[in-house]
Amino acid sequence: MRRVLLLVSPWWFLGACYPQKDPLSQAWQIDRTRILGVISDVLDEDGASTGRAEASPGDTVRLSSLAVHPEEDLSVLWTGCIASATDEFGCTMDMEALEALFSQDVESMTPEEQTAWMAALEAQGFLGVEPYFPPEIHVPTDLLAALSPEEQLEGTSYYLSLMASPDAEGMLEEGAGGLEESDLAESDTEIATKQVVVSQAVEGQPWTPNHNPRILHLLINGEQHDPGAPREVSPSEEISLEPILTTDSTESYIFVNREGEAEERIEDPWFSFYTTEGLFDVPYSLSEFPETAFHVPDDPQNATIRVWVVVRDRRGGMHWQEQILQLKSQ
Amino acid sequence: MTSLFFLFSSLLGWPEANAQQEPAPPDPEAPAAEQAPPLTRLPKLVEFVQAPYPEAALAAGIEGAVGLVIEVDATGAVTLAEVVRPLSPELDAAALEVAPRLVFSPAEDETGPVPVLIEFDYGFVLDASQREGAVPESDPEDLAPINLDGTVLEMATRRPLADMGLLLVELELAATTDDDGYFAFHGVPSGTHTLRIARPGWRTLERSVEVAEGEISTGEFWVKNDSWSEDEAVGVYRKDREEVTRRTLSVQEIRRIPGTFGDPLRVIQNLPGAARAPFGSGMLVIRGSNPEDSGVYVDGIRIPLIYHLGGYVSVINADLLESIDYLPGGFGVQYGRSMGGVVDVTTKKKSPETPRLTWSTDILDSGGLYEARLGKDGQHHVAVAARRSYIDAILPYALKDKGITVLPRWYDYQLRYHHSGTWDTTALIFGFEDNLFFSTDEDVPQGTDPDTQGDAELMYGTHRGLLTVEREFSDQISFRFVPSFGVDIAQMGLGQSFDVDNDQWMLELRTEAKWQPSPQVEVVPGVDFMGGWYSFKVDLPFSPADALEGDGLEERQATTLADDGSGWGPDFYLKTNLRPLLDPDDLLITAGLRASLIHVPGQYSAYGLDPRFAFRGKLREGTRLKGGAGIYTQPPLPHEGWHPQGNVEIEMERSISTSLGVEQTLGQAVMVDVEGFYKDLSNLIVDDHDITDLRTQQAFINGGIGRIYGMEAMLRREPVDEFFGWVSYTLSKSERRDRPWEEDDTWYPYDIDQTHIFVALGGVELPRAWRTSGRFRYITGNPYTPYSLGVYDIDNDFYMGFPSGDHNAERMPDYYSLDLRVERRLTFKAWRLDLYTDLLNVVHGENAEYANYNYDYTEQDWVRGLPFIPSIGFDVEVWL
Repeated sequence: MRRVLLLVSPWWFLGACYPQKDPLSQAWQIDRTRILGVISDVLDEDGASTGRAEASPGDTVRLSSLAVHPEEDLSVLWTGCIASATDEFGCTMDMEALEALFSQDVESMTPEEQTAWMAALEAQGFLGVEPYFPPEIHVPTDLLAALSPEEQLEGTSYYLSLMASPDAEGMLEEGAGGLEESDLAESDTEIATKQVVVSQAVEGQPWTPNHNPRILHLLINGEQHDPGAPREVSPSEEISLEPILTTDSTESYIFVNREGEAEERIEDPWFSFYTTEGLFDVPYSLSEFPETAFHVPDDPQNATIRVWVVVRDRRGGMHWQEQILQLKSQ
Repeated sequence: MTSLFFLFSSLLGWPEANAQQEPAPPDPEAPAAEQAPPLTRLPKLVEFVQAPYPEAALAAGIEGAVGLVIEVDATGAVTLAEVVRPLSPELDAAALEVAPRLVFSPAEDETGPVPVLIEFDYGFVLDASQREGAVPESDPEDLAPINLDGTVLEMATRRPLADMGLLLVELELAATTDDDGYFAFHGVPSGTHTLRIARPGWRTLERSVEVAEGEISTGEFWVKNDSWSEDEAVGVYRKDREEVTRRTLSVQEIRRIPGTFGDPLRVIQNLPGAARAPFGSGMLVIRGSNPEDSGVYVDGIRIPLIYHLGGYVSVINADLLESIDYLPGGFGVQYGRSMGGVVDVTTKKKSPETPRLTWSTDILDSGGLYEARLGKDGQHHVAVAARRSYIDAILPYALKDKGITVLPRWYDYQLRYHHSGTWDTTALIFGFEDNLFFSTDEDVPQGTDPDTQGDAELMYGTHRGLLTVEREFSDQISFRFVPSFGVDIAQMGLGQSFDVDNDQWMLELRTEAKWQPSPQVEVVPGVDFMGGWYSFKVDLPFSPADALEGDGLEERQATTLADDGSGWGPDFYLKTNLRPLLDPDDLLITAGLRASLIHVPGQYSAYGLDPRFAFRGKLREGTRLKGGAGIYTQPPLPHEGWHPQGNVEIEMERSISTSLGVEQTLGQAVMVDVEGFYKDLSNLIVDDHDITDLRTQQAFINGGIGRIYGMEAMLRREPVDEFFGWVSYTLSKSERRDRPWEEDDTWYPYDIDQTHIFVALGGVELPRAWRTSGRFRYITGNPYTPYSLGVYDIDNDFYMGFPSGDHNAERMPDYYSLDLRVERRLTFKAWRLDLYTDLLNVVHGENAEYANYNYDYTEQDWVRGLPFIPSIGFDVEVWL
């Protein structure tokens, strides 16, 4: 239907207060397989992180995901391709070619053959399987060659698809056999997508490539806390959570508008909160008011509660931090 | 001596079906059906004929009233009488025998005398001398002087009541009031006596009266009218109805229907062919058409909206409404630019003789009306009405501590002036505005998008001035001219980035002449002009063209779309009514042609030619066959016919509509109406999925098709006594195809396709001025598109749902609800108070309105309709 009627009714707002018999699960509730974030990290020649989320031709991009489950360990299957190789359902992949590559005996290959084999897999869209085969993108040096200088600054994107599941074998079969929606709906599998921008933006120039933001601390009740150490909480306790970013996380950058004018813009990151138990006042916050309140359940089901905060800079950059909350012994 | 009293108890609407049984030729002065104006004068009995009291009834001591329905023609003569509430065979026959000799002053509407059907209680009462143990009456010449007299007045209206029966109970002395409500007793012995004042339709009053020796006792006695007021009892007898289906309801009937908040315009959803609007929003979804495909008219002028925010209250004071005509299809050429149905609201033109003030209050709003006649001869009829909601004052308490503020508010006003003369002139100024404000506390984000932070506000409104000038030049020729001018406003804002501002100055003009060279032929040429000037400005934080490209990391660039211009649509129509048979009422054939044009300079022009045909014929007494066929074209919506570069290629949407039905009267108060219909839709405007650049390509094309078919049935009991009600049932299917040129494109159910719509409602008057009514509805759930999988967009933190079935492939659970209304009328000397409570959805039906999914589309439940809601309110009516 082309016509969508905007029904503005005061009852709609009241409807939000209408008691639900069986409330639907909420996005901040981690009760199943979830992918909460992906970091694309451009490596330097030594394989060390540059902090850049945006790649240039010839770069190697290391990919990592925050895939969580309340009880299980997860495997994440990565595929990807450049924008021109996608259709409305994602990357167009040659499944027969992939199957042929997978059928090869990798263990008997020489290192050179393994490198070639991995390059062939990447060319077919297969990027890796976490945690066994860390995914990477090796950006072709000529990826942007066909674009004009202005378009090269704007860049293009890699489109990544991730499939996370506790059942690695089943997931690989699904991934190799194509996506069957009915199977996915019934299995504890999550599918996600992400873009990785590739451009000719150069460090130190006005068209600086985007960097991932970074959470420096997660203040709990206003106090800095060692993220690796559990924080003790009591049932029914309310605590405040306030993520603090590094000073360089909020970047300024140049945007060329439709009229060809360069505009200087400043990132406006936002935070998403997740937990295995408990309740947030608001499960997200903006950089201006990053704090939210967390309510420990009255009757927690587990002695350990996991809380995550993920920051996004709206340009593809991401970072996260996990905090363990340990219930005080009675 | 046998005393008779008569009672002209009420003037009630009588259905057209009944009226069409009437064999008399049509009165040339009777108004044409499509604009049959309301009655301005009720018929009054001027010559009563006393029926002899049948011996058998006398011997048996039977007394009471025979309920008659009689037709009073335009001369005041009685041309038809039938018994609808028998008393006894002898008394029924006696009443029927004398009824044709009764003489009335004729009823009148704005065009002059018109025939009407009325209910008339012919009363038979034994006087004291005829009751058991009675003493013989004295010779009148021997009467003693008057020593007890007085006046009987009606409570609330304060009018004197004629023909009221009075009885001094202990003395068995009787008297009757004259036209001034005056009565007198002669030679009443001194002492205390019980005076009983009685008449059917009024509550019996008993008072102690003191009569002193040598003095005249005088009193003023107030009695309460138990029936509905005349102003509420509005029904128009329409002899020639051209539309295949025109359903006219009386305001009396409507205001007692639960779930309508006493608002007459909300009753339409209970009629056949009207789908249930989501959330009670009041959208008009008629015979499977889009809401915007149906038109709403006020006194012949089209207005964009008829309901306030939320759809619970109409924008015109209910006390100003004369009648509401609901035409689900097959309407004549005088209505255009609509493929769906038509709702034609007629406002009252005249004020009552006594100045009146009404006030209504419920949980949503309060409003009042004052109307009076001014000038020496009372020729100047004025009315002023206004209403303001106050739910915005209540909601903050309900939402306290939730960190959000929601303030819906509305107001409306109406000013009406009418002058009767050679040129009947009515000026109506009316308007409304609705405003919805939403905000959250500063530290509570409204989602994660920086562009959606801040206050949100929506405002829309309409203001119109409307002048109706009418003149009847002769019995054959009349003329009507209705110009109107006004503005439609719509504004919407969200934070600092979203802003929509749209004004349309509307000039509308309807001119119509009627020429009836013979009783068999009537010709009606007319012009229905709609035009005006528009301006709009839309500020967005993004470019729609960029959004179309689907790049999730695309940098947003603020965009402004703005334009101003004009648009003009002069439509011309010609309608002919033919009555070819000897009895003109036996067959009415209506044929018409409407030529439509809309021209928006720089954007587009579109044309339509709509031939339409309808007939109504009598098969046998009480049975009528009706049918029609026609083409209905409709211009694009404003946003569909606009592109920043202009030169839009777009045409009228089109519907070929056919229907065939039968009406059957069952007795005088019951009518059955069954009708089948089929609509073929073509040229429907749909999204063009093939465009790649919104900046250079237009977003909409004429390519969709549709089909709507089904049947409607209605069994209706008129409100001729204590009970009214109806049962309506609609069986229909409404389907669309958006890309029929593609092989894999298939029919899908329309979003508000409701296969079964069943409504049963009724009301009954109880003793002691209590009334109760109820409504039960069962309706097939709306179609929806199922989803079972969501893919997570990590960069933007949202899940994109993927359908697990075809568009609208599944249905929500069926809808059912039971609404009840209880009210009590309290009548005082100079005013009247109606207290009521509406209990909505007392059975707590689930009533799914929309499918609601969790974040990743793996779980689903329903956004439910209104829960059980009790509402209370009151109406006050004061005669000044």
